[in-house]
Amino acid sequence: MRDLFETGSVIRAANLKKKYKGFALSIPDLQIPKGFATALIGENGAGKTTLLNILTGIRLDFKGEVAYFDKQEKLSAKGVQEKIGYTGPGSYFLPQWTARQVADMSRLLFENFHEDRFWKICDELNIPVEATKNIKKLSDGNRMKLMLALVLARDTEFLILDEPASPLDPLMRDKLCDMLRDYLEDGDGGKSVFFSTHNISDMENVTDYCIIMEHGSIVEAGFVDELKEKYILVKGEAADADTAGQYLFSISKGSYGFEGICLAENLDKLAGMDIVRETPTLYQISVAVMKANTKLKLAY
Amino acid sequence: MKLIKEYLAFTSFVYRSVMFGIMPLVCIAGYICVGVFNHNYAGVLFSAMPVMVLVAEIVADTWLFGGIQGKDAAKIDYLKTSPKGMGMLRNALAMDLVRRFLFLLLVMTVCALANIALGVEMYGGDWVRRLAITLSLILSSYMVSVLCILFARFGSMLWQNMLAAYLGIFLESVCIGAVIAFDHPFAWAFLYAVLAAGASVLAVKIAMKKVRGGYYDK
Repeated sequence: MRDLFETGSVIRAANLKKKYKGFALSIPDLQIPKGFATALIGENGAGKTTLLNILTGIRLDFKGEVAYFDKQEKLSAKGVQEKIGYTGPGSYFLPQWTARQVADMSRLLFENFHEDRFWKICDELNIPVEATKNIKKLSDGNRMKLMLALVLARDTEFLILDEPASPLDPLMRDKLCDMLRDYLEDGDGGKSVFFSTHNISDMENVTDYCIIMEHGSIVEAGFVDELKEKYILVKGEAADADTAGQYLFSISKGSYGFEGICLAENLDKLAGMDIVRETPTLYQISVAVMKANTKLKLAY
Repeated sequence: MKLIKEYLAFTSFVYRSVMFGIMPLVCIAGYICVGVFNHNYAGVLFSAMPVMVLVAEIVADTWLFGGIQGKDAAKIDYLKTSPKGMGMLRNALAMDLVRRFLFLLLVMTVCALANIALGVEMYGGDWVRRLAITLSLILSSYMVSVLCILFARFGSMLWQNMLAAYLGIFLESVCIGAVIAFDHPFAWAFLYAVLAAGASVLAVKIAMKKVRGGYYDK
């Protein structure tokens, strides 16, 4: 497969297919750029977690090929899983485990785990890790922080994080962005992050590349800067709303006028209207793309 | 050493303190105290000891592998993110069974030695018969304990393990009764040994199958 990125790809996948009852994941081509933070965005049930589970090797019943890192190795190749850190929702640990046990296990599971770093991060993130406290007694946010501490305590090259921001408070989300940025900078172009999120605004300042999924397929992908050139936020008069609406991905109307996202290549079709162009946020682009592809019955 | 480390990683500090320290001490010290003061009670307690140990083992399993065969545990994603995860779990499950057997062996051996030292009369017959009965009690208690945790591990709640422990008391009472009532202790020991081996294999295989099922739509 031809590499899409100058820096190389940390993951290259081809013809990924996975079927559930009423849902099919189908991704002909997927590449995650090396050295960047890539956000995976999509509505509930779009297939984000299924995709991440396949990429981390915790789901094996799928069709297709996945290759990792520069040498395009399989996940089962020696050392590949060691280089990947994963945090996930749901039953990540057995609920009766304690933080101490998880640290002991990590020392045995991963050669690149640094216990002193783990406890330091736990302390920094203020995770209540008393010796006898079961993980089930931790809040969702603290459980996520514990998972982050575990993966950041290892010398990994690639983090795959499933909804890391969702259970976190705003302050911790900001800290998460800092931690991910530090992680990427430490790697000097050699480390990458791939995370799914619904908290697009909070995570935008750490997102370099973005993949948007709907109904098990990738409907948009690109570097955020390029997407912000491809899509334009357009604001105009209420009288032009219906005409403009034909060329906009999404539109919100009111007595004051309309606002929507337009493909840059379609801007000339709005010629003659009194419109203002602005650079959209990643949130606005994502919502527009999702609206254009959703099966939700939205009222415009 | 690696196997022991892997097993210990699955045990919490509280579990280790209770099951590796307090429980054996309480069982042995309690038995010796009873034996010193009343030989008759000690004789009864010797037969009841395997029942008490298996109840403690089944209930305490809630905090070790409780829920590992449950629906959610099929995911235990953290173990699956390491190539060593499944091997480590299998080793820990197997070592847990070894530890259970050694715990019973230790407690019953010390109690039997205490009987000899204190002159407690039990079961009658020569020392070979007594040894065979003791071995039957150890093996039956181990087998019932493993069978009960095999069922209890489908749930993660304490009451489920307690329910399994009640079932264990009934089953072990039947097993002990059979050994004492029918005078073929070696035959019973052999039967319980075979059943215990089968239960051990099943306990590891079922737990591993359930956890590995999380890789697939199972």
